[in-house]
Amino acid sequence: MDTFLSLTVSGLATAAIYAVAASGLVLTYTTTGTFNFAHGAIGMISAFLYWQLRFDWGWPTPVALVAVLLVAGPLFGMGLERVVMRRLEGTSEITRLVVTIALLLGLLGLSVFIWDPGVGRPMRNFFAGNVVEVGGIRIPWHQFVALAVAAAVAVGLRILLYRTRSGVAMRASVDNRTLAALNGARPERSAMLAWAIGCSLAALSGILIAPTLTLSAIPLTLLIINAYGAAVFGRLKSLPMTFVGALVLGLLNDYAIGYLTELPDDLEPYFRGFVAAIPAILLFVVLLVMPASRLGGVTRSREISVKPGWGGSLGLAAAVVIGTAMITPLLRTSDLVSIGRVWGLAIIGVSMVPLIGLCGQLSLCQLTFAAWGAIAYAHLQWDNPLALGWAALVAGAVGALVALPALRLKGIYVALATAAFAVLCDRWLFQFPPFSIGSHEFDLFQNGTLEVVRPRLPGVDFSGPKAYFLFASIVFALALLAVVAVRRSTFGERLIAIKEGPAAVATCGIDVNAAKVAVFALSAAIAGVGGAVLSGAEPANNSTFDFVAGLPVLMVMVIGGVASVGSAIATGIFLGSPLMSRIFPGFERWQNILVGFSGVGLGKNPNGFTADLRRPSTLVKRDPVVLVGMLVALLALWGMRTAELFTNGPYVVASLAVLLAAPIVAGRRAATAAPVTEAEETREAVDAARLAGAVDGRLSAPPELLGLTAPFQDTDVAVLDEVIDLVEIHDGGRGDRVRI
Amino acid sequence: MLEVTGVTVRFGGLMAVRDVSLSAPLGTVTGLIGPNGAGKTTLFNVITGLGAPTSGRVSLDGVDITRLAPHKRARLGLSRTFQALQLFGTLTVAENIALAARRKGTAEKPHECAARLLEFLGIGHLADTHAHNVPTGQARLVELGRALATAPKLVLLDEPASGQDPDETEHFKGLLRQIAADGVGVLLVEHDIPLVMGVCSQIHVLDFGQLIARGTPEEIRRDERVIAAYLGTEEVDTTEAAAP
Repeated sequence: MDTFLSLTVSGLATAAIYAVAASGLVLTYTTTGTFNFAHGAIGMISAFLYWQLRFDWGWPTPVALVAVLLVAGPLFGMGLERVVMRRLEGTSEITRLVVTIALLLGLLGLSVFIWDPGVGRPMRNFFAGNVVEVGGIRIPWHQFVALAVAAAVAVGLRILLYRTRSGVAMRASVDNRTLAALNGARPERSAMLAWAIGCSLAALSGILIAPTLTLSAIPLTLLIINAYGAAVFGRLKSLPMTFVGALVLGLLNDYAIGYLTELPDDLEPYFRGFVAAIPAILLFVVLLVMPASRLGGVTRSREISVKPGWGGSLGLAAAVVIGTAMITPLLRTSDLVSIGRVWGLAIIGVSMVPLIGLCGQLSLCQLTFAAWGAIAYAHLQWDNPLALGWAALVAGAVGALVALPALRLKGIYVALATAAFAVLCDRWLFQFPPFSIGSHEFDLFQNGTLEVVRPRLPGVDFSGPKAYFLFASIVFALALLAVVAVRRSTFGERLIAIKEGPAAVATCGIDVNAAKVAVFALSAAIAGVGGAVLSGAEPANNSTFDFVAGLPVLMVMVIGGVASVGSAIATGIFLGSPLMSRIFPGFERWQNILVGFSGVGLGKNPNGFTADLRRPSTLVKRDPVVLVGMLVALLALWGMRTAELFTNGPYVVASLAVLLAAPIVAGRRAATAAPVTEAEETREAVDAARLAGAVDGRLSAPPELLGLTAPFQDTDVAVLDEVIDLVEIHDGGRGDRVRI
Repeated sequence: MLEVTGVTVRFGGLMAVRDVSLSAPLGTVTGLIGPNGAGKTTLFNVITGLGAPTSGRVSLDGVDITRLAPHKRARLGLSRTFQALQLFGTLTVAENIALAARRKGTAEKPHECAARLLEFLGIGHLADTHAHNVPTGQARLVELGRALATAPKLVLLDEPASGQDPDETEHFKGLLRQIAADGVGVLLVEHDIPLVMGVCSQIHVLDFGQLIARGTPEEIRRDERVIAAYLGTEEVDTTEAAAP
């Protein structure tokens, strides 16, 4: 009974901290419509800041608290609103979520950068050592502090939202931002206030929860993310229900900690990770039973996906394999160890194209699918390349299973459900000890590292490091072509239709649920192959595939353009190879910061940077002289490198220089080509507009949005002139054809 | 024939549609009019399966479809357009229509179906334009084409003429007559009263979720309650207020 009581009290304290965190999240979401995935990271970094002030520099507790909660937190929130979030107005809910995921990644990178993770940073409870004895149980003061803080937050928010002008204005901007503005409210101010309070509450929860574990960036962030389940319990709307959710979560958590350790020895190992997974499980369950939201309208998004042609795609696939075949002999075995992950990561990246890029289902568990593929592949121990098919099959089945609950969810809820699944696998299922079903032994992660056999065909042995690297590139090229085939098929068009006309697609006779299950399975299958290939390249363990490790892959894909297969190559090279760290020493420490904060700038170019590469590559493709010249130059460099005229460093630099120079030369040549008539000029302007990512190959934006969503361009004038036949007038031509 | 029997839709305390029964025969244009907020779009959602009724039933050619998923209703011959345009923006106009083309029981290939419909609608020149670049008036035609591609028995058109200029509306009127002449039923929600009066053989009038009148255009034009619903009269206002 004493155990029960003390567990209840500590559970209430945990609940109080979750409630503080979740209410900040809900407040920002309801006021601004942005689900701040970085909430946990903001709490984490605030806890670090507090530790710095209070324990490292020895500031008095109240001063440090004021500095973090009332100065740093609100300032950060206001800056975030002003610099980042305000510019995302009018983008889809998903884009905004991705930006906050990027922020999470950036903050994680930043904290590791500032506070060396190798150093232990103990953080003490408030009033450490002070304990109250009530009815035989000992309650630390810290728990009272947590309860009091939660109560104060609840009362404070209630007064703010219902008794103050600012609060009422905040509630008004939830319903209709424009309307609220017309009636004298200032939505920007409300949003800023919401972000300020949200960040402050995140900081508060971070400081309260940090003493339960040593200060460490990722665990602390995930600990606060646990509170998201409570927020979803309140449907991201209701603060009272959020507090109830936090109560359930906190009590379940502490009871589980208390009672699951008393399980019999033969069962205990299976529940070792269960406690840590409880918040994820609760989130999953809440999402399952929550009533489905009604169909929303479509947001006109600026995101477009260009239909890739077969010619270019085959060329790209061939370039991948041939390029790899040419480079591999030049590499030392030690280089191959560090570069081996490139194609495995690229395959996982390309798996995101159909699911996230085309269908708009933001899955945060692609690396978990990859893990299941890798587990299946390692379990089979078959040296035939067809074993990859088995990995695809198992991962695909897992994907279809995840799709079932995700069917009725939309937008950010798909992201939350898949994140919950990823965390559930990381913390619980992947921690399972060896077990057997019937007489068959299973050992998921084989107590650490997956042992896989590399493929071997009669006459071709891919098991050497160089041959395996080539093999991986061939698998990636095939995956790339498969995804292009999907994009060009009716199935691919259906996926786009689901993303762009969610209400209309079913009335066209298309079975949306079947298509969603299919695309989840397909994407998971490709990711599974990627996981298998990855586990063959380097020793893979549980943390190779964990939730946080998946975020950079997603972010680089999104920055590159998640609907285009080209970004998968960029993902592989950027995250899997030492290219960047060779060019910029110490790059590892910067990687997450760079990826994160580039992702934060996503609002500016939601189609990703590969869209910007279209123009240079088209220029080169159209100019046979430059194209052949470029290929000859690349071959010549390779020949000289093979003849050992110079080392790998200059070779890479010179090759990059050739690749950069080709489009510049092609552009010059195109500009000085034969005298152009005005009509041709217009046509070229039209082409240029198309190349510059013009929506229709004509105008830089839909006519009614021209000059509103993007600056009005010269090409637009040319196109409009052409459309209303003004070109003829310039030519002194037939005025009677003018139709206005 | 589409039959709606005693359909009621509640959103919390609000009764958006209250015990509405109506029928729309094939081969004619049936009108459904009413002031904004009368429940027209809600009723459309119930008929096409995008929203569930609190009570009542919907049937097409005698088959009860009340509980059927939207895509199954579409395959049975029920399709629609949307008041807030729902085109697939990244796809071309032709791809939009081809995607909806019926695949079973016809020798016609999807792209042939798209070409035929584009010609019928008079927007063949837009075939390769990306749908999000099509101006609203013509986008309404693309949505109509997409609805017709499913080879429907009955199409529901939700304010298809809004955003069209007078010439386009005149063209549209001709299209509606042709569609009906081909044996397809049309249920038309529209605020353009001259258009509705011009093409419909039967008109139903909704107000505050209730059916207040039905009849030929001539009968509707003279109906006191309809005039009251649109213009408001003191007499009818008091009876409305007195109603529980």
